[in-house]
Amino acid sequence: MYVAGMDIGSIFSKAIILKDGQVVASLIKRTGGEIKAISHRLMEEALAPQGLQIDDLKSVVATGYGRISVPFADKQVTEISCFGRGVANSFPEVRTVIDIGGQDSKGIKIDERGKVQDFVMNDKCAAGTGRFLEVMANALEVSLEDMGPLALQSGSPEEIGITCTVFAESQVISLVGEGRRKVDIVAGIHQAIAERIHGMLRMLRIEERIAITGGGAKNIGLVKELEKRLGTELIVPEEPQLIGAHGAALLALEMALGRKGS
Amino acid sequence: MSEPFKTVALMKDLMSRYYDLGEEARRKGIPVVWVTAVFPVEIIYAMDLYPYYPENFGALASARKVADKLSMAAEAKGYFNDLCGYARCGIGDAYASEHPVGKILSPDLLLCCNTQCGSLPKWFEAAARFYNKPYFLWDSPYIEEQTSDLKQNYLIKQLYELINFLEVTTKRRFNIDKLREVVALSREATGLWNDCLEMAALKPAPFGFFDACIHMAPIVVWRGRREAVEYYRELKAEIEERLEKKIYAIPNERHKVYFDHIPVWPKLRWFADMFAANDTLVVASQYTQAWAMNFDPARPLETLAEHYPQQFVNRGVDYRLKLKVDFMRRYNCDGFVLFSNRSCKPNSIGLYDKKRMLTEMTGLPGVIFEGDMSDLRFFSEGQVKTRFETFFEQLG
Amino acid sequence: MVIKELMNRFFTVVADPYSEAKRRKEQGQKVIGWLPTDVPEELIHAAGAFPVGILGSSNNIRLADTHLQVWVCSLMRSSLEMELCGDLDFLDGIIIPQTCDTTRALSGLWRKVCRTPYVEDFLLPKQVKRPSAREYLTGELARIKTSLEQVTGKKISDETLDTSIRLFNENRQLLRRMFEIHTHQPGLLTSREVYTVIKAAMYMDKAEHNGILRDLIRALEHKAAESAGTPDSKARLVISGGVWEPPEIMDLIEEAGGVVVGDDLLTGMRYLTPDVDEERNPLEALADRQLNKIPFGGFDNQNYERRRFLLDLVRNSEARGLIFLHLKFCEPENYDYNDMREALNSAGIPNLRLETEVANPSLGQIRTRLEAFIEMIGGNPIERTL
Repeated sequence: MYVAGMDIGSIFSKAIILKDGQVVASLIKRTGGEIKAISHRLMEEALAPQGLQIDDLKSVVATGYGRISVPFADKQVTEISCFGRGVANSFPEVRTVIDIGGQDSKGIKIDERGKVQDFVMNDKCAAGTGRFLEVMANALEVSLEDMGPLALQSGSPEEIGITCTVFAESQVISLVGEGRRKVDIVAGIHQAIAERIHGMLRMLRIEERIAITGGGAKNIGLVKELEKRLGTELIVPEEPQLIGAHGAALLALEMALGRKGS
Repeated sequence: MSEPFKTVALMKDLMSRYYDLGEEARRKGIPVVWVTAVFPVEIIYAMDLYPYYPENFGALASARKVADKLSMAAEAKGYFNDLCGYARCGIGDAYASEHPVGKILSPDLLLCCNTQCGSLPKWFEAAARFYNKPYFLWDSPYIEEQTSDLKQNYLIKQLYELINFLEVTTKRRFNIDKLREVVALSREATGLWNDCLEMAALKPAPFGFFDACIHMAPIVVWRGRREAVEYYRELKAEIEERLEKKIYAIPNERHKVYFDHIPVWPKLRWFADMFAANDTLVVASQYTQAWAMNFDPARPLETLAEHYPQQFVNRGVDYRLKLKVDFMRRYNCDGFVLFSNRSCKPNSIGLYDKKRMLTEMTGLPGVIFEGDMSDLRFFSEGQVKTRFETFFEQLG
Repeated sequence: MVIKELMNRFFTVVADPYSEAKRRKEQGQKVIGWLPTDVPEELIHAAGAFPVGILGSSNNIRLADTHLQVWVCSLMRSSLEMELCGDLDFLDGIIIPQTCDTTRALSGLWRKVCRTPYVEDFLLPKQVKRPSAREYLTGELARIKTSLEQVTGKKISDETLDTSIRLFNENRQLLRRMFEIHTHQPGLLTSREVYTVIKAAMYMDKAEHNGILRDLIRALEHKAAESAGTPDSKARLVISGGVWEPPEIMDLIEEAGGVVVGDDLLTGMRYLTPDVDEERNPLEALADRQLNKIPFGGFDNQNYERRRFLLDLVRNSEARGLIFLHLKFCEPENYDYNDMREALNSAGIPNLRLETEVANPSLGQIRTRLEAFIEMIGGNPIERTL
């Protein structure tokens, strides 16, 4: 029996196919254009190697900010529930999930089955999200992928206050104007984002262990800064961006089994 | 800022004595009473209680540039950074595990007057719940144009309620004659404080706003005690002595300006240096002038009920415009500075229009800058600098 | 069918809130607006003027930004924007209550930059427990009464004030009755419909509102009897905060699988409770209504009433959780938040804080939070198929 999970994020869209509960295919693509079309294309591409079509899927759960626009989904579930479920599947010892996505960052408290106990989310301002990092990378003319490693090279990070993206951007530009070292600015940006995320997390009663997911988890600079603040090592899944889609697929499986039973 | 005054040493002494008294009060079981800066502390001193000013704690944490650290502890509890910076420092310290400026002294009682703002009562309410201690609000209705018998009666009635509250909670007797003495001491100190401030009108002047910011602590916390009188007598003598020796607040005073509000504490030195570098002396502010009250000891309760609630911050637009213009005239100002302070809505809302109105009324150039009195996360140095550069060019 | 038609009337009012005020103005009646919250409309009515709420709008804020900092709450920025745009030119006056630092400062600004001919403050006491509060408030109400008499040229007698009080009491009673039906059988009206009826009362002639509301209640009672026993499938929720803005928030709650069965909102329960004692001196009775209102962040609530109030509200309305609906930059709400949240957490009541703005909201994030919250409390996750 095949089921699928789709996570349509603001920057990337992800798909995972399960066969009898095991991952048989996964795919990540940039989100761009109309979501209905993308979700079709992405799912078809993921299914093709199995020689399957969308109709062969017993059940599909969609998540992510574009979840309501996936035409073939049987159900929409928020990424908060999906990330909880996805993390618990691989790491049942995890009680807190930090998810740093393109548009949002979140802190999620879960039980051993991945059920959400409490959660927090960043406010409307993008400071503390992947989008912010992207804006900063552009302002500094550094590729997004290089930001994290670059941050680790600094011995004296600049102090950057980020209460708001616009404010921080002008601050970064004036630091560049003053001829400050790029690595120090980049390191300062990472500290500021980590500070912001840590501030948000403190609204939760953080319990160990802690996992980090989403695109932000692939940024080594950010992970290190967060670990420093949390005083513990973070669990970074191998494919941190796929956790939401995986959680969605697991929920799809439950649905399919539930239906069989009834 | 001037070369350090000799009296600074005296002030440091006086302030550490003030804090020691707090510890002593705690040990001896004398009630520690939280009060707001514009509150009839005379009643507290008249009852031999120890008044503690959480706002001072906020100012201190801000000046030491740790407001953001303390604030984060408050933010983690859901007191977000849109709230007043002082309140975030005070609340943050209650929850914080580290105390970079020492621990805030916990209250036995909390007394608040809302003349200044609506943030203070909310902060004190939250603190009263946190420390689980009794709280009293001296409610001071807004005065759009003039006060009225209705308001004054309400204020006096509440003072009787306050005295009753204090007598019941502290089991101490209130004595009106004692209050008269304290009010007389207050009046003497506030008069001397006013004399010091007035000297900024001289050109060149031996004393300015930034000096006043340094020297204002005793008028806030020791007001009503002989110590404040003695301190400002010393300070006044030193300013006069400096005048004779031609020691001025800044080396080359060409312009005088009015600064509307509280300073940006963590940037006090930065601002002072910027003004001095532009040969401009900040000479007056309604903020430092707020403690230049002229009480009438013969009517102790009435005089308290008149002066504290009638502070500028509790007054309508026209009164406040006139007050600013009067300061500019009295101190021969060449321009004015308005501080749009994110932490202080009562002083900041309406400034965009007031700037235009003030220029129409006085013909003087003005500048508004955005920031926060306490939290540097809301201060963009480059942006503020650019605004002031333009302003200094306007002054010529 | 009947319910739909009656509701249409209320929706039409809320979509074009000032058509009745403008009509009255054309007929020569004075129109006096009020900003939230707690302005005694009965006095305006008894003075022969038409009272109308100024509650912001969903239009973008442009003109107000030259007068108010962006860190001022959007409810006040938007209300000022309405005046500056000319949307409130029909007003003969406005009464601005001193409920927070923003309204307190706004009243002076309104006098300086707006065209409204008559601007009056309502200087409420901020402590409500001591005897001085009642005496002062009665005096303040007398002052406003005189002020209104001067502007309308009409003396307010005790009899006319009593008549107004009865009319407004009836309105509150009817609104409470409607709300009661809703909480017993939430499917009859949607959350947005219920709250739209309440908001419409702030714009309409009270006698007309009472008339339509009476018909609505009759229709609801009828339908309730018909559909009694239908299981309630939605997660019952309480909302705490200032205003239910933007109005789409109510739709989002329902779409996420929730229904609102209780609140402490200014544009909700605070408007409908309590009644004014009709047997007493009317000014003293109005003062008592004010002092006995449900807890609100703007006034001294040292005795923990608000925490207890919310816990009781959640329990009595059999709600599964509580949503704090806070306007960005609303200080009174924010200062109360931690204590309220901790009380709810200790009582095991799930809660969520949403920060909204009157104009220009980002609804996508709010939707995600609401859905995740309802998924978390085991509500009924929606199965949407396109």
